[in-house]
Amino acid sequence: MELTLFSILGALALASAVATISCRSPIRCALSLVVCLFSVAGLYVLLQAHFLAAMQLLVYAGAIMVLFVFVVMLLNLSPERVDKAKVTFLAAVSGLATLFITAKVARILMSFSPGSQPAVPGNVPAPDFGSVGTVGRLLFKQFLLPFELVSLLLLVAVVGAVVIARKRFWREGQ
Amino acid sequence: MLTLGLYHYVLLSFLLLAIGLVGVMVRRNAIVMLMSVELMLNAANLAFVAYARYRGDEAGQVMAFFVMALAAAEAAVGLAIVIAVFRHLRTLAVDRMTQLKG
Amino acid sequence: MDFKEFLVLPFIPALPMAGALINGLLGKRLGEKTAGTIATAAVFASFGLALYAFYYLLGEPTPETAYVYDLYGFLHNGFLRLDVAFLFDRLSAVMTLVVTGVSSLIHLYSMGYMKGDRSAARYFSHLNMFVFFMLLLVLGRNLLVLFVGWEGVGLSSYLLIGFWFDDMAKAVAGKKAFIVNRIGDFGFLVGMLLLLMYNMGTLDFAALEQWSHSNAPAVANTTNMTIICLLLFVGACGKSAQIPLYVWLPDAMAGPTPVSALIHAATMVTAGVYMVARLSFLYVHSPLAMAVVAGVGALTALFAATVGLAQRDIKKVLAYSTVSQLGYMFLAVGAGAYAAGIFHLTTHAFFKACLFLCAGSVIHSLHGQQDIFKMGGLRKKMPVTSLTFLVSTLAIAGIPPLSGFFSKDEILTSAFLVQTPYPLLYKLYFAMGLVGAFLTAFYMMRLFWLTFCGENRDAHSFEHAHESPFTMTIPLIVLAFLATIAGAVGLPGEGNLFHKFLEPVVGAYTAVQEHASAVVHWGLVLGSVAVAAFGLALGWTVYRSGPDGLPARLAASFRPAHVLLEGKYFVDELYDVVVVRPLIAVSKFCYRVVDVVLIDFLGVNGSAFAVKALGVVPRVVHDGRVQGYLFAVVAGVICLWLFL
Repeated sequence: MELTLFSILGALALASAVATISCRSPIRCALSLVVCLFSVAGLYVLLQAHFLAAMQLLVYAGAIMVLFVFVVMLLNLSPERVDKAKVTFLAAVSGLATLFITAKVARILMSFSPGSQPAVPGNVPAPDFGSVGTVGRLLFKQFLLPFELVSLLLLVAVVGAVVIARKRFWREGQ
Repeated sequence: MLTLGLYHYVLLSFLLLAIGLVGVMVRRNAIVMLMSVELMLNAANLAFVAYARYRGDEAGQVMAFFVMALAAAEAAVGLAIVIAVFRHLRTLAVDRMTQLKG
Repeated sequence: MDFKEFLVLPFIPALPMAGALINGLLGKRLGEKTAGTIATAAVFASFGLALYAFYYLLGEPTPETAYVYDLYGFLHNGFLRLDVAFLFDRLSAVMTLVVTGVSSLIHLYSMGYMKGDRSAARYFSHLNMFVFFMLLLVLGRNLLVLFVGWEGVGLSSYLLIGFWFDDMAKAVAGKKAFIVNRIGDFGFLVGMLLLLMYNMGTLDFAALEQWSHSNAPAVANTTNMTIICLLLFVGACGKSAQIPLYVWLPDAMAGPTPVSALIHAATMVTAGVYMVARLSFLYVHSPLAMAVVAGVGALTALFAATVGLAQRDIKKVLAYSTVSQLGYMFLAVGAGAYAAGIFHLTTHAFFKACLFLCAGSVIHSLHGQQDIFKMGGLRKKMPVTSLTFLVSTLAIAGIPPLSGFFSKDEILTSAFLVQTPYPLLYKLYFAMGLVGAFLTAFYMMRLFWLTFCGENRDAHSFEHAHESPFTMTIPLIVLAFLATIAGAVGLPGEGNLFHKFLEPVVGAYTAVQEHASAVVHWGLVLGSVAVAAFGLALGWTVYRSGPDGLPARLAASFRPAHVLLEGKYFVDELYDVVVVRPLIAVSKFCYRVVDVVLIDFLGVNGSAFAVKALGVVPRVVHDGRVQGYLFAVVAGVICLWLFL
């Protein structure tokens, strides 16, 4: 059961990822990325990370991708014109390289003896593993400092984005 | 192989990373490059969460949480820069942005 | 030697230096008169201080006392000990008095001579600087300070010879003086370094004297000492214009006449003689070196006298005369008669400076005429000048009781009677010196007569001739007076105050004279007087009617000899072919091949070109495309991962 779900979601993720990087129209890329994010969220659920799955959908797919779509619409880009030969060549090269390296990685992974694999079927996590409460407690106890710093970071990012994108940035006086 | 294990997730994460990396290297469009970067970040997140599950430690999920926050900040600032550059150069092709060449 | 610290000592050279700096930096603003006054006052003050020091030195209870002042420890490491320090012993005292005294008079003279010259301030600055360096030379407590002074006077000489540098010929003369000097200095430097090497790192005169008494193997090795002494003598040849490095002195007459008087007659050129006298304790170890010194001196004395016979320029005659008289001084020190040499140095300073200043007076009055064939009868227009010139002429010829007689006679006697491994050689030197004395009297009388007596040969300049102002005539009178009476301190035999005075410094190294009867002594004396008188008489006979007539007929009859003499044996031309041209050829080669091609083209431009070419290759990668960079990084990481 799990394996089936994993296979479907994994395939979907990979396919949409490939679509993201290969579409000519940026809007199509953005939408493919959304699909990819959804499938990854599904994978999170499989991995007992419920809180995180919800966050992924809310923040990533909901906010970040909306921002991307917004910018694409704002800049009103037309689809890229591509050089067919170049693209094919690049695709071939990168595809081959990826496959080659993946094979290597897989072999390495498989080489680990079954005994050392932490993926023992009997490894069942606690019932509230990955729940809002557990993760929340971690955030506010062990990881309180990074949590606060991230909020500072977000503030900086907001200010920075506003300043950089302002129309009157480069004119005299602020 | 037939039982779902940690390393399946790790391999998937690696593939997503590779795809994202190829996307960054190959695409000319700056926005699509940023999207590929998001893809890579997601791949990293997936790895974190997988390890968290299989080690029984939610710290991995916390890490993924932080990465998400960072990705948000980075996307915001990156897109702001893209907009600013677009205003100047009227194009988003990164191979036109070579003023720093040496 | 008993050393006492004397605080006034450093001020003796310091005052002229201060004068030089003031005139050098502010001269243009001060104007000619003020500059001259400052310079002259500085040197007079220095002379005053020297007298003061001398007076105290005389009053010291022990004759071996000397005054010292240590200024600055220049270099003290394990091996070397070099200081900036001054020494005022009896030898330095004599030299300092001569230098400052004659300099004072010449500075005074210059105030009149350089009147109206637009660069007078620069002149006085250089002249003061010269006095400063000369004082360093004679007051130095070690060879280092002496050498600094040695080089410095060479520099000042160059600056002053080429003073009117708008005239290319004059500037070239200055250059020639400096370069020929430099050749001598090289020998001096090597000698100094050998000395430094052998005696473990000190150049202090007292220390060297101690070392020379020790049984150090370097001292006992006569060849060693000979080499050192000869190398040092090479330096003396350059500075004191002996064969073969005398060629710069006649050319140096291009400078203003007071400069010729001061530097090229009275002071700088005597530095070599002083140096040999100062290092007498070294020379006693090498009779061979001393014979060489005496030989070069005697030969130069004779050689230069012959050239002086045929010159027409008044200053050139005096220049060759100077070279000749310096030869006598070296003959003296080469015969171990150091006090005699220094005495002749002193008397020569008086009468030669006087002669040069008189010449300057004449030139100034005739508005630049220097050819004696165009002068004549000037004694009617310039009585003071001609009288002082006559007195100095008699002095240089060696007529008693003028000072020149005593000093020259002493030299000839020492050469004849010295106890040496080479007695015949020294007798030959004596003969050369005697012939030289005859020639000296002859050409000086020729000079005097053609300039001042008979009928004038150039009516136009004669019209405007006049006696010089008193700033110029007073030094003439003073010097002539000194030339007359200086003999009193050098009376032969027991009354020789000069010898007694210098006894503690050079007495131990003075060569022993053979005992000769009174007949021999009186014979020598009368012989030299007779020779001098004969020379003067012959000169009068030949030239009493002017340069045409008998002299012209003689010149025609002995044409080859006359051409040779008037052309100064064509030594300059010889040097030009043998030394100067090959050197220029080598320089041209060095420039064209080594400098332009090897260094500039291949080296400098070549390395720049290589760097540029190498840079073209990596530039391809730096195209500003971030994706390219990223690709490189990823590829690198993968490679690393795969192969490690």
